[in-house]
Amino acid sequence: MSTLLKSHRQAIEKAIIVGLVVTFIITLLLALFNQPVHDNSLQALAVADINQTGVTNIVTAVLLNYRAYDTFIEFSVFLCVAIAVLPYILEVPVVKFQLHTESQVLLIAKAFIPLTIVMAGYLLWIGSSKPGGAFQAAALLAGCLVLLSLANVRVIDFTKLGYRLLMSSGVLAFSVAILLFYLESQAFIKFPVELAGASILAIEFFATFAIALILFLCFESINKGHA
Amino acid sequence: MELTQTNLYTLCAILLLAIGLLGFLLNTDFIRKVLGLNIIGIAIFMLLLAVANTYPAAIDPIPHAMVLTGIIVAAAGTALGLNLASKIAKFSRIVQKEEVITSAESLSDKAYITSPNNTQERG
Amino acid sequence: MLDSLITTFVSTYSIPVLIVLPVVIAVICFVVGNITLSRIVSVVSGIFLVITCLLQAGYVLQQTAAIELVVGNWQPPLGIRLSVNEFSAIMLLMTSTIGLAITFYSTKYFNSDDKEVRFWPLWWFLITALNGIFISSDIFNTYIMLELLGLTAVSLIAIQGTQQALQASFQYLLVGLFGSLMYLLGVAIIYRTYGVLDNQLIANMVENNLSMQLALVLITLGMMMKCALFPLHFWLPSAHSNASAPVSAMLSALVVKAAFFILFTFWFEILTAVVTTAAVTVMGIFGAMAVIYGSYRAFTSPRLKQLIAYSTVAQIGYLFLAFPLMIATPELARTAVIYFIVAHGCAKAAMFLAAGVIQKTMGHDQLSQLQGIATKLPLSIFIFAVTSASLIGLPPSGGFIAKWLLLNNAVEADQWWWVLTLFIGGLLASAYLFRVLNLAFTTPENKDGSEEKFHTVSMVSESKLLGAVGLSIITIVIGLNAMWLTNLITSSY
Repeated sequence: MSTLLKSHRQAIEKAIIVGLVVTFIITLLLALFNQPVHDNSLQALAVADINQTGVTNIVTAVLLNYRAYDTFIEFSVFLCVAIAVLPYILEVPVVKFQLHTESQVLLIAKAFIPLTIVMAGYLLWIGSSKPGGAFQAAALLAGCLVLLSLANVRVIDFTKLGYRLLMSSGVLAFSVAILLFYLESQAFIKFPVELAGASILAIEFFATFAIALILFLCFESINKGHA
Repeated sequence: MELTQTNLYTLCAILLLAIGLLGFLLNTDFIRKVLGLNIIGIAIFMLLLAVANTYPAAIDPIPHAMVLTGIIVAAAGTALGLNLASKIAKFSRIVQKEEVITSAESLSDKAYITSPNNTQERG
Repeated sequence: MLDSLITTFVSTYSIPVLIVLPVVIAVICFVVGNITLSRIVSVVSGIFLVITCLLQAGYVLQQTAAIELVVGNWQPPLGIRLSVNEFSAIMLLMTSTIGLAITFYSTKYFNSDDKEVRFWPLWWFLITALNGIFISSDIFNTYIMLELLGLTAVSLIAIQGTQQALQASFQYLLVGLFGSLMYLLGVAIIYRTYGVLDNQLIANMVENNLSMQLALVLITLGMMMKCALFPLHFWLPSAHSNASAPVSAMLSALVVKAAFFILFTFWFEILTAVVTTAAVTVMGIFGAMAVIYGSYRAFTSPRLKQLIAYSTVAQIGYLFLAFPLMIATPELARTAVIYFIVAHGCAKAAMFLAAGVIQKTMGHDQLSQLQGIATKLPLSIFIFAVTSASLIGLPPSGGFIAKWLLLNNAVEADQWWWVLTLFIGGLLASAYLFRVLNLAFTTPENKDGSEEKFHTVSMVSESKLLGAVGLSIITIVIGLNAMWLTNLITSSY
């Protein structure tokens, strides 16, 4: 009996895991489909106050006004990961901005990067009224940087103070806005109605660069590990 | 139960959750475990999006915002995980190189040689 | 005049300070990247945070009312509500005090600039996350804070840079991410059912049905992983013993407690309608098993830091013993839990800091080779002895009062069988801790009879242990003033 258990230990473990997962999934199915869904009263509340948020896109309103505190912490989460993966002492010497031999990737980069930057700017701008915003724009910008990195153009030396400042600019801009409005109105993360649109755009503008840079840093740190 | 769009999404989310859970729990490989976690995350996001679509005439924005926040956090976690995995892989490559040297020097002394995978597998 | 000034400060400014100050300090430490400046700023703002939390705790306990703040004046369910009640006020005070002690210790701990320059920003993000969890009154906001906590804790272990530390941190990352995803699934189910995210609003609406039972199970599973309750503790010993001493201290003293705090809030404040006697008894049994198993593994550990880490597994078990008592005598059990968290937090932080000095001096922490260190590192061993007394539960330490409260409570609730676990746990704890102390005070037998008594790697000054001395004094003081403190806590419900 014990030898049987030993020789098939892995198989038995797997069977137990599969059994547990299946039981869990069936319970979840039963639970979710037997339970009526909420009455959507929160949506009505969110729509009713939209003209006080400074933006017309409702998701942006939730992200950067109703629940801006979540977004503030989320920028911090991202910055914290950047600190963890940042190479302070670089193993590979950084080559300054220089174009290597004309590769296909570089050709693609040359063609697409200006377009992508324009697109990112548009997405950032449109975020206040239509789907779009800082994260989408940042993803595009990070894509540009990745393309450049693949074309062997080294643009960024992450050890420099300027880049560290840019990486934390999202959190910094948000903190400055919080402190300024806090001193004025004594309310935590409350944007005055007339300034709300402008301050949200400003925060998103800085956050775009910060997030793009951090996304690229994550790519580089993993890429270098395998080189 | 009628097959509305929301119900279909919920069903898919639950199936995706099953795939992610099995992937996370059954694999011992670093990268597959991280991928499994990502799939679990996506399944939960999809469940939230299905909730948002319950009343198609008035789509609830709060789950959308939650998902956007969640995606960024999940991306941060994945990046950190991959970074750690690549650092660990670097260590095991160094061990491997040293082993090649030591095994070339003393072929008889096999007791000292430990497989680099042994330390890695119990991740 | 001063009174009104303090009242205004506490009621309007103190909650935002707890979040914004650590974030700003973290960003400053990161951008400037100068170690000397980071140390000065950290110590100064650490002191400021302690004062803020002290005023806040005094206000909350005296006024017997929670401080509330609605973010952006958007009332829930639309916005996020932050609140500080007596439990969270005490947790915040503990976070800032232990944080200050460890900050002081860390200014003299690291010997590599590369490690320290990463340490400070991550350290302040960790404090942000802890504060955020204790003040949050919104289940989704708690998720974000949990992720921040998990990722900073993982990064802090990983900056140690050794292969063991990297592997431990990767395992911790997987466990942490899985735990918080289970929590998020629970949150998604709750939102799907009731459409709100605020703790209080959910508590008003919740009913006992399959969905809510499942949500509670998922959240419990996630938080059990994060606070390393017995069957899911497998990651804790390697993570806590491979991190650097200040990080281990913070992880054992506070990070696991944050997960416990969330679990406790869900069971007894938010999803109370779902909680049954059978469920709390199961949690109590897990706790009892954790006490016995953790103590046994601590007794057989070959390394000092591993021993302390297993002792954390055991001590977490005691906290869950209070779960079955919460149904019969909620007020007593709550007081016991708060007392236990504070007593264990201070003692365990001080103990890890002392162990850090021992490890640095000897170059290792193998127990078998620690004979006679008492003459070499008297202050470290003194701290170790005092905190051991608290962990075992000897009078007049805080640990004694915490265990006495639990015992009293179990008898009052007619559930005397939990007392057995308390006794067995206490005996095992004294066994494994006296094992260390016994070794420390024996003079090593020199077979060669020569001079090589100590194989010390480096002379480490014990002056950085000032904060740890402060923490061990606190463990004694809260033991001596037990009546006053318990009355203060109990009267504030």
